[in-house]
Amino acid sequence: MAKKQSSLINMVLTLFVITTVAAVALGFVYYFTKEPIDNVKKEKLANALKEVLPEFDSITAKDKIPFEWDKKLDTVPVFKVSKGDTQVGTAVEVITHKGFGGDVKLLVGFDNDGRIFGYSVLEHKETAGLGSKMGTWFNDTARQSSYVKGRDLKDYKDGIKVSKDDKDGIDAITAATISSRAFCDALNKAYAVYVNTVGSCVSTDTLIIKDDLKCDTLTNVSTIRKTDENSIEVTFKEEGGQDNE
Amino acid sequence: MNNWKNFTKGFIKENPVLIMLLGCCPTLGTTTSAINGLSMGLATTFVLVCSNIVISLIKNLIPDKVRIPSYIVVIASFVTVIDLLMQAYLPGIYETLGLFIPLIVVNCIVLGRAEAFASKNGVWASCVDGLGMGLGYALALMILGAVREILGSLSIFGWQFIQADGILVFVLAPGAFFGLAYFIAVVRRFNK
Amino acid sequence: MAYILIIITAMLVNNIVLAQFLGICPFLGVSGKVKTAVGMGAAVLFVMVLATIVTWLVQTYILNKLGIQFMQTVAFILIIAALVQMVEIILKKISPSLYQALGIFLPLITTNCAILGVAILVGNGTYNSMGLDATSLLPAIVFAIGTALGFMLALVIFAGIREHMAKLPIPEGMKGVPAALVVAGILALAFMGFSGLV
Repeated sequence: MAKKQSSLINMVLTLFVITTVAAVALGFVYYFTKEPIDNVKKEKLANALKEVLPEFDSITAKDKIPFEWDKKLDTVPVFKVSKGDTQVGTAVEVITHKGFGGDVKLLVGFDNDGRIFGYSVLEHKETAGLGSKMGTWFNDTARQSSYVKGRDLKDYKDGIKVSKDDKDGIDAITAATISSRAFCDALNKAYAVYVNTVGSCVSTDTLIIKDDLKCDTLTNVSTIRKTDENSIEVTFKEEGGQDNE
Repeated sequence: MNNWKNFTKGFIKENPVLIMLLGCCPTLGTTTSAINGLSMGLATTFVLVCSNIVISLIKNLIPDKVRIPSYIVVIASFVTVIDLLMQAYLPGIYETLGLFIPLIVVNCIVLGRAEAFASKNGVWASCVDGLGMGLGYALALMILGAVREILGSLSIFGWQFIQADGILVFVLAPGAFFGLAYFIAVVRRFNK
Repeated sequence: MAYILIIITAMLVNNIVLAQFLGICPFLGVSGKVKTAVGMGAAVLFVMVLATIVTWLVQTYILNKLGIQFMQTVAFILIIAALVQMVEIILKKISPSLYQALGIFLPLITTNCAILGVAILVGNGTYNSMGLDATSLLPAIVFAIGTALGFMLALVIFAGIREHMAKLPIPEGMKGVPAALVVAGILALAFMGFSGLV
């Protein structure tokens, strides 16, 4: 077959046809890979949650909390998980802008006492071989000066820092101080969010009940019923005993 | 026989990166380990083979003057395909290679083979040419990655053979330049 | 302040050639003389800023709006190719002297992965924006300028060294590209020292 002439109409037509075919073909590929790609993201988060929290069987709450950090407003995802009926931990997903190569996204898990249970680096652009060690460096029991698990950030007055001294913070990744600082910033942010969310849940002294409640979060309690303006009736599970207040 | 020659030329004699010095950016950027280098090479091979086949099929339908833009669209489409496929099925590797996957589109090897070979030859020959060139490229990337991984992290294909820190500079940027420099020099020495 | 930090980071700390390995081909290819290096650097600066603005507009107002982000690679490479052609034609008409200075470098720029790389980083908002909103236009332009200046800096220093290297006795096998790569490696080593800046 002879080569087509390079007339204007031929050229425009050819480019148009090629681009259209390419766009349609790519649309198909996109359509078929969309679900696996979404699954990959979900799976990644699920695995990260397992990694940073004590054993759990259900995620009881998934919230996005508006939070200000470094004069910037951000919405921070928070996950609360339970094993059986008891809450066992909280995970906070934070982004810090202080990384060496760009933003670092970290998932930090706290146990019920507010101690760090674990962390997982979700996204980063730190230098390979240096800052990229973030994922394992602070998780190595052989390096106690950098080990973060079990630390309570309440012990650090101005937040956890990069420091040789155990009392002030954690030892930096060799030759990657900036990445380590970003890591500390993320931990501090996560802890601030954690304190914020937990504070509002735990310190509820007064219970306001508008209607009858079915209760599956409190142990032994099956229902809480409002009897009149000032009293409620609590029904227990096992003995069936009633308790009026 | 001709096909066999066509296939093997990409490995040493006309190796795209070591002899022709094409596609240096991913060679330097992704060879921090043997696996990374190999994956990058194979991703490029996929694009190279597919675009070579399609371009040799449609070469007569394209007017000469819009040849290059048309080739670029074909190449970019296959790059997007491998990009989406890797995101879906090889997320770990996709994350490490990052930006270098979409950048296959400006890898001179791909457009170079399209222009120099696929636009003048039949489908089968173009396919073989793409495969040979791609695998030659992948091999070079894998070897460079392996050398850098051995020296830099004292491991090979992810297997740590000595529990210690390696010579860090080899996994960092300067190590990439040094590694490629000596690799090219050695290949030149033996290619004579 | 954040804008200055973006420039410093993009130019020195994360230098596009010596730390990110983008734009190696022109780096090795045209860097024999300081004068041509400056010309190439200027052409890249011009096209990179222009391409960043156009691709940002396309990403924000077309790709994101229609939800067809997967067309990014195809769209961006076509835009850059067309843009380079247009710049070449316009420059030829408007300023022949500037065209003489930059013209020969323009065709080389289409396949310069630094341009597409920066466009994709900006399009995805995944560059180091120092806490500024990575999806808005101004930080993106500043980032493009910083990156291009970094490219130019690396190119000019490298060309300066290579001018002197021409007179040196170099072993046969290392002549040309291998020796140039070793120099680039030493330069990359030197640039790593900037990491303490930010």
